[in-house]
Amino acid sequence: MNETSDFVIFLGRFHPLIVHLPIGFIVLAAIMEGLSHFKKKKYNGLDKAIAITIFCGAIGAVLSVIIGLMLANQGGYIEDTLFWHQWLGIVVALISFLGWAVKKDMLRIGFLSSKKILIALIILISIVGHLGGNLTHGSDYLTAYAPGFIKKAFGPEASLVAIDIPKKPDSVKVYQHLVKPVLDAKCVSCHGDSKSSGNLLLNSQEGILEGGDEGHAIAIGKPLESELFVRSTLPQSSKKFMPPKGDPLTFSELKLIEWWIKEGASFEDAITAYEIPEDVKQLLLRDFGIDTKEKPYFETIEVGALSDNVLQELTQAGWKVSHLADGHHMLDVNSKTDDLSNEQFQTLLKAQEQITWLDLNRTNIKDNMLNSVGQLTNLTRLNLSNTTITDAGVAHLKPLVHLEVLNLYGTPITDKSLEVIHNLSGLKRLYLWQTQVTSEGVKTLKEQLPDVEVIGVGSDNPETT
Amino acid sequence: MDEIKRQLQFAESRRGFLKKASLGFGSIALSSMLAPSSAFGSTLFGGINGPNFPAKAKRVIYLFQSGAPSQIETFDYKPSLAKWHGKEIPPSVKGTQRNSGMVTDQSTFPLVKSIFDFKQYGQSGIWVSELFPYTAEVVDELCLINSMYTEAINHEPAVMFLQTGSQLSGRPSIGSWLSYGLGSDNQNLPNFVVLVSKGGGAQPLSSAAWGNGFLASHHQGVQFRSGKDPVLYLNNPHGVHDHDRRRALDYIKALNDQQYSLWNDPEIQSKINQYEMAYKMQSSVPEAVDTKEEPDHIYNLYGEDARIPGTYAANCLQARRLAERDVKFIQLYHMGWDQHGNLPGGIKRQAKDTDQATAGLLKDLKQRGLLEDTLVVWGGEFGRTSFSQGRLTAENYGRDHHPGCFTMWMAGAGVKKGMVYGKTDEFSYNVVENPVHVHDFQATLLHLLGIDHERLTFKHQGRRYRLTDVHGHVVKDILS
Repeated sequence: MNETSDFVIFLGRFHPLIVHLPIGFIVLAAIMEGLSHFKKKKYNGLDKAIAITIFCGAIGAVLSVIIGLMLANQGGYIEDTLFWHQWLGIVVALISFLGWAVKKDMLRIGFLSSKKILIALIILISIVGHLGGNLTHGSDYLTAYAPGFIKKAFGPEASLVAIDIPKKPDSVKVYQHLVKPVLDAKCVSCHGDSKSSGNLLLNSQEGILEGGDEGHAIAIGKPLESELFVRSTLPQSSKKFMPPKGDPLTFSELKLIEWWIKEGASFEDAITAYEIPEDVKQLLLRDFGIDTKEKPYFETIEVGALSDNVLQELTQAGWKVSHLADGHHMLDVNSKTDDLSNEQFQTLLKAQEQITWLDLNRTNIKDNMLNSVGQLTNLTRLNLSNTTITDAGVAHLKPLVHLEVLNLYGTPITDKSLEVIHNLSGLKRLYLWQTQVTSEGVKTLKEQLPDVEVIGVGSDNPETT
Repeated sequence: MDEIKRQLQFAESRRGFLKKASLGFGSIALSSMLAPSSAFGSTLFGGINGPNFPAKAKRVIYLFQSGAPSQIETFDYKPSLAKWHGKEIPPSVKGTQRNSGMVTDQSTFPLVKSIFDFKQYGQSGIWVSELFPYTAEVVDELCLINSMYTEAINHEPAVMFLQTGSQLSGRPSIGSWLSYGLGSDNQNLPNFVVLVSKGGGAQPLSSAAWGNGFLASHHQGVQFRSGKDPVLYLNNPHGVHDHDRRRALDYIKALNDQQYSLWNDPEIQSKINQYEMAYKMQSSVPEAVDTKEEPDHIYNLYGEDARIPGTYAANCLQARRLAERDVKFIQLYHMGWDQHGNLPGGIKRQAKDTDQATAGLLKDLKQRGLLEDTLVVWGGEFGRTSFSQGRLTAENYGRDHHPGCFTMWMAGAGVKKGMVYGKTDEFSYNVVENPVHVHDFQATLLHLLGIDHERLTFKHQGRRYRLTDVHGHVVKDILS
């Protein structure tokens, strides 16, 4: 397509103004036609006026079509909608002439009357006008602030755009959930299948990587050399500014695209694959509700609620049970008694999935009772400090891979326990003050679990007895 | 009289009907079984039922340094003050900020640098004054807030403001709010215990700082004294057997219950609670405060002072023992930080009395795994001026009250470690980055305990009250 001259576009931009002329004339003609139909006696002399009005409408329609075509030259419109708007507009102009001819009796076609033609015109104008409105303001302009039920019925485009973004950070894909929706909404109408301005396609991975006539859309790792980022951050008055029509990219959208390109512009990676800068973290939380703060395991899973009966049973068995929070299903369980029995531990298994904190500090717990504790699959904190459990007891804890904090201070355990503990891949902190564990043992453990913080053993703790 | 009774009965039956209709007997019974005290709070007084979201901290030890330690000599390192030493504070810095009446007559306001040296410590490289060699050792555990500011300029209102959210006394203190909102984790000890260092300082400390305000009176802080009787009149009088005491209490309870059903006054419930708590405390308190079993290495950790009842060090040790027993809010007060004059000598003495025990407490909590779910708070009620109060000599000066900026620190459950948050200008006079208002601090503290500070309310005299009044933002940046 040749570069359209500025003057043509200048004229073209009068289209939204001029279109209201034929609309006005045709509506007026329809009103007069209606009046002369329902109140024949009073308004029987209107026929001539109606003919003139329709004629004016027809001329106006032709003018609108011509100016409209000029505007369409500028580009940047959604192809589909433009096609229908353009051709229906031309049809309106033609039918207006037909209506005028029929009214003037220059043309006689049996079933056609000026009334029918005017009704058809009114319907057509409504459709064309709506399409035109969508072109200028965007297809969600009308429904954006409509009440919910109207939105549902008439806003199909809106529901297409809204992609369900998962709340869990590790399932949010940078491209699919964050970048692609922006491209789809703001770029693809010109750089897509229906139109590929500058030979650039932004609706497919291949297209994005290939770039267009003016260079690379993205230069991997270098946002400032990527046309996609640079062109969208130019001053809006620049001729090269993208997108030329519609809303520019927002600050958050640009930040995300910049971050995505910098991190390698992968089409597969989840956001958790990268280190997330503090400002991106904040806008992920603010704009998408994605909390990228590292969460304890119990916050990342969902378990069902326990029935009141089970809770009651646990309480009657002597456990102090509380929900982590109002409405939260996970449980914090402890006991302050020193007459714990095997039966009591059996009842714990009724909340096998729900118990995530268990505090048995200063109880009489015996090694064999830990067998039940080892089956509490979602346990994240376990406090066994100041008890008499030994290595044999700790052996039962092997399945607790989600355990994050294990407190064994003041127990007679030895390095042997560490051979079990090194299987606890989720472990973050391990308390071993006043145990028989040695510095060498801890050193070996650290080789297997380098991230675990061991408290209370070795030189960093001068207070050990 | 009869008319009042009739009205009360009507109100009671109406209330009872509504409650049954909305909750059903079963749910009341269950909730009171699960977490007795908080359910009690929720059904009777409209508190919340457990935390709003999973809590990071289950309990708090608040080391209140009453009198207001100078931030300039402790944690807010200002090398730039050296070149201004002795020069007049620029008007652009002093601004229109309020000064106390004690210095308004001064003709000159010379700036003073810290007489004590600072060094960087730990992996975090945080600057700490030579006054605090022990605290410096644990600096990697601390989250320093250098940008605290308050509205009050005198001790009493400033202490009240920090502890109750209002400068006027009479509102519930932080510990009372927590007791009301979260209930108890140990039925045998009070939720809220107060330990005040013996000796005190020039400034009186009013017990309204741990008062319950308009909350039911069993939420108020219980002060443990030093020495033989930590709680006065707790022991049975000579010749009274435990058995007799129990019988007497049972009869008193029956009478009180009768009275309650007649008058429906929540204070009667409080009274019943208090009698029961006192009875349980007869055995639980002596056990909790008996430090005889503590080994020598613990005294090495807290300092030899910890052997002397009533010292700050002894109270720190006490605080750990109470934390181990799940007391929700343990409030220490150590007075004497009010160095208007003779600051160098005064603050040195204060630091010596507190530094080792404070650090010892943190280390002890850590090795026992208690720092996992205990929040420790250290700080005074306001800061001190960067200009000298009184005459500035080579080795002597003083500093006046300064609400504009001061330092507090938090450590333990839910806060970032080895962090310095907020910044003051090069004079430590105005906050220039990330200001933290007292209400922000309170909102953050409640947040760490799982409470949304906007949702913990109590309706009193026609309006709902909060600890943070209508202010406060959680300081999210310091949350781990």
